[in-house]
Amino acid sequence: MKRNIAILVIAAIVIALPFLMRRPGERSTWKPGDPELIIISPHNEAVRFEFGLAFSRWHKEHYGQPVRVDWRAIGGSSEISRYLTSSFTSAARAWWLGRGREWPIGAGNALINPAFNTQNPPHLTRAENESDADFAQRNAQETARWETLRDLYLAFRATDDPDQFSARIDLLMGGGDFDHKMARGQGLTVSPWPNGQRPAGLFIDDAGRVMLPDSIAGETWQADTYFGNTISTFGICYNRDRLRDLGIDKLPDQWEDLADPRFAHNLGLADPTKSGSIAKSFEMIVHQQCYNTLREAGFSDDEIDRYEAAIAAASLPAGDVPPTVPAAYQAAIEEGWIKGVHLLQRIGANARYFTDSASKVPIDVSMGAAAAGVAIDYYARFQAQTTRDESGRERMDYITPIGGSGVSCDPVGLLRGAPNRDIAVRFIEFTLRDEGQKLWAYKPGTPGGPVKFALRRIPIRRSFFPSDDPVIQKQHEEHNRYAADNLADPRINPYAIAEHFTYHPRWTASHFSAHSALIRAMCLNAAQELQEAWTAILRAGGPDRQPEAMAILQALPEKPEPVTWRSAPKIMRTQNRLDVMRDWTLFYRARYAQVVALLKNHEGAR
Amino acid sequence: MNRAFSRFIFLGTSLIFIVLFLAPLGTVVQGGFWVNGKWTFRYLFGVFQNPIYFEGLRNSFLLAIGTTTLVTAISIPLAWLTNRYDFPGKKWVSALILVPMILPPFVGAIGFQQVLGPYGGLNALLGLGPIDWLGRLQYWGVVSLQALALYPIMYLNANAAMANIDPAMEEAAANLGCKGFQKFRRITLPLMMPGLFAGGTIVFIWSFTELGTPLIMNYTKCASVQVFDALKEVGNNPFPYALVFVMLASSVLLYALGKFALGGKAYAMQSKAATASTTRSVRGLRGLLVLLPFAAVILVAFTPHLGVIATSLAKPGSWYQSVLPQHFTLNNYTEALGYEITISSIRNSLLYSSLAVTFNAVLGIAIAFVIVRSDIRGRGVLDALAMLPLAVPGLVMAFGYLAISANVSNTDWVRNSTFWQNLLDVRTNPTLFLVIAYSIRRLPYMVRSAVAGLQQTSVTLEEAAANLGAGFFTRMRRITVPLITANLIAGGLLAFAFSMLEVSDGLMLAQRSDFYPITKTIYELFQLIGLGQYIASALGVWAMAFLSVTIISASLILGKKLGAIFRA
Repeated sequence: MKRNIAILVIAAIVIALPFLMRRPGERSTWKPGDPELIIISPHNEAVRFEFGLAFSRWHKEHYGQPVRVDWRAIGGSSEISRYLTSSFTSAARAWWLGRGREWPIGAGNALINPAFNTQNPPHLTRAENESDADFAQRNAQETARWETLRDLYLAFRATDDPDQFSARIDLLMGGGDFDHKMARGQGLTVSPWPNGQRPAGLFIDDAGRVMLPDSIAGETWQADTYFGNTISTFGICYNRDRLRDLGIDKLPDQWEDLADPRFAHNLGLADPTKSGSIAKSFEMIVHQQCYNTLREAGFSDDEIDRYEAAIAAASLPAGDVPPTVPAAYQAAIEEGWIKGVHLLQRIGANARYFTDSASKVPIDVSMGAAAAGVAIDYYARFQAQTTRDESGRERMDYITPIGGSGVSCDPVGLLRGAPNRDIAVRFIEFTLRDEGQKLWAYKPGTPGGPVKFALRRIPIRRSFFPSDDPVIQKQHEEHNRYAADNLADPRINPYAIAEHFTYHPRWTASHFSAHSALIRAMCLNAAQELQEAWTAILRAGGPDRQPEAMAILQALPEKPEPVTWRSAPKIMRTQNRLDVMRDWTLFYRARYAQVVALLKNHEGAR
Repeated sequence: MNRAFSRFIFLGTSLIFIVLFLAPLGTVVQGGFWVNGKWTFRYLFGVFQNPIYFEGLRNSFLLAIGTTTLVTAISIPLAWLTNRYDFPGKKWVSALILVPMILPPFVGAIGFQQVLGPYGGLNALLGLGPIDWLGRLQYWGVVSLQALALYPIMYLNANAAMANIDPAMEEAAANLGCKGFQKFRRITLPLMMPGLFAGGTIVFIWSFTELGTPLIMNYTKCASVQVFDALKEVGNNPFPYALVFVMLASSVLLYALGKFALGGKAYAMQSKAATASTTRSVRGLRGLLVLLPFAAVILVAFTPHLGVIATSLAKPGSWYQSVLPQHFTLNNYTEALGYEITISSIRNSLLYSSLAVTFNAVLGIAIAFVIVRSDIRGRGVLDALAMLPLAVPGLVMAFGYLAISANVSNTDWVRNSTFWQNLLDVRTNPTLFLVIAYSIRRLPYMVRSAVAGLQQTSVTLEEAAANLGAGFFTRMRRITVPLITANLIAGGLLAFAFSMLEVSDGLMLAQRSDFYPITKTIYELFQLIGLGQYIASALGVWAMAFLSVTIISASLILGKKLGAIFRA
């Protein structure tokens, strides 16, 4: 009996604890009937809390009413993308059928297909043994179907009215530039302001200073339907104790350092096929190799800018250059691309894992479960702070490789058919103004800063960073007084980081999906075989002493055609991805097995 | 059972199953077959033509074989010891032995890492260098971790099955000279086969499709991880849906094979529950010897839980290169339990899980009745289909329910009615879909438990009641359900515990914070950069404590001794 009572008392305590420890939430003056705003976002609770609260207060101050922000959190960018396309397709289908129109086969895909051809119907080829009449009939049917699809496609993109159709969500906030570009191409987002009617002082101040650039160092920071409001860079986080245990004295500060064989089995990496942002970081690694190879070939920064401008102006097929550009220039880029792929392979060979969650890497590095890894800046800086001991020493550190990372943005975009359009547009404006930007950078409790959580993200507005312009410099100094990080630090200031890096989309942008596919085939699908081959090479004296084995290891796939800078984008565009992945994976597995066999033979011969 | 009535139940349960499970599943899985406006089997055949995916299926199969074997090897001796002996501490270990199944999501991996990582507690305790246990072990690591998490399922079923055996059978065997292992092999084992089959199939299919453990161990060459990778990939790839279909078909096939080989022989006992089996009391050294295997299994299986508990009490960053955290704090609990939405998420989880288990019990008993007590053609199909929810990746079902909700909520009658919006539009209120998702995904536990109970209970008891004039519902209430209560409690507890710990459906369907279940709150806390893992661990520990207390309290409320709860 006593035991039973004891257990029931314990049960009562367990159940009561959350009630006893409950803290009252932030008091809100919002009441039913006041405006609401619905935002879908992969941002965490800290961002959602601070922006929800601050926007409500800002709105009350400027428009007289508080706003309740209804955040929809359903996971990461890939889940959100899937959810939005499914919601829009479903809503558009009901709307289209309600207008008495037919919903033809393939309408769901056509609706959100950025490359849907509205000019010409699909070109059919006659099947073997197909009669003229049958072919003509099939052609007519397909053309009729295409006409309906075209009408639907155009009507969908011409309609932005929640009474017609809507995903019942106003804004997409967060995710990378890649996700917003994709949403734009799918027709899911719209421009908040008509052309030429952007709010005064928001993008350009009264004196004509650009406060929010369209792009910087080749990176897009805003388009008509999305607006970057915080910055991400990619870099290396590392655990000092683990490095010491591995005998690595030099702290890594460039991507090449991660290819050091002493990192074998000790790198934490994220899977580029699951996130556009992570894929972007791997693209930066390859991009830097292209740049380095050009510099080694003797081309200066000025020449690079000049030749790229000439190539862009000539509008030639990929890889062709006008007579004013030396052939060696293009050859260096192609060689650099191959070096970049080899570097990815060697970094991949050192991987302990490729995780689906980018935030896992800095956590593991902080615990010493991985010695180093590729991480997004704010995740790593935050995590490093938790490793600080009583003497103030942080056992983990983060560095953005100079010249090895672009400055990509996290945008906010207005969704088509937003039910609370006006409020949504005000929210976009709020996030881009000082009031919203302070939330990213300021310490909690500072004037205009977050209330509870330090977000420690890098704002985008020019006035937050040092400048030669005395007005901007003064604004920067004021902001920097309250910032959680030193915004003048050239490792944090995106405008300074951009000075060391110019993104040339021509070099690597069209290879985006090829990079992911290659990494998946050579490093993930063949992970075990790669590590075995790499271990065998290291045991046999390392890459320098085993050139034959390295040549086998680094060979690029030959099917469906030899992979080169020129062929890779075409393969991804024209071939079935499933077949390509199978062929490439089998290719790499066979090559890696060959390396192991070769070195075993050498060992046997000795 | 009246034939017309059984047909009615068969049709009813099949219809519910089709609408609530196969329809949402079909809306997603058809993506692997209906591509660019055409039906195609290209992706389905692609699974078999592609050696990478074939290898994934083979490895998943091997993981399932290894895990089920290890689980059986752990569970049967423990269940046998529980049933045969009274030993010191039996009441406590009988309860604690179930707790490993309630490891909270997300933070469980942190628990492993803190204990088994290079700078984790184990290396510090043994004075070893930075050995990376999690990075080194692959197949055997996954099998061991899965077995240590899943053995309670088999233990529950084996224990219930063994408790249901009429001791007169074994006594009769002993009188005829059949003793020791021979008696166990010839009498006990065949009589408990329905329970073993029930537990074994759940463990087998679970480990065949398990995602979490292979991800923790970075074992990527198995089908579940391949599906996960493809589903999370940017872009719209039809392939994972074809692979999901193959996994489902394989699960059904393996289940059918298992049933053919093992499950067909069910021996019902006339006098089940008429007498309780006798247990021998062992004390002193012999008592400790009996206790030892329990203590060993619990200690090892508890490793990640201890990791999570210690993390929840650690000052951030202070558990590093040491056996335990160097600085303790209760701040993580203050943050987690004081968090604004913690209470509402607890309330939501209780609501969703309780409703789901209630629905499960009704549906599970109905399906079990059709399977065991009727001779309708197609009942075998229903039997196999009822196992399918175990094999479906959580993300796939969540996408399916989202698609169904989106389609329904875009109709005029829903758009124009607040009532229907609250019921059917997950954006407004996800309760209905979450309850359906929870109950359907946990249905196999209830069905298997109820089937095992019915198979062990002779139909003659119901027939005797019928001869005395009892109608169907009276027979159910007075005879059948009391006789299978042990099995229903076993299934219900599993269903409740795993519903409380359900992840994918809650993440996708509960989009607004007022509807978050507790697992989504743990996820939200985990996402807080820097301190998230510590605060989320604190809430995870609370969830573990709550479920442990629930399991123990359940036995108290039933007025039975702990450990004897699974006896009829």
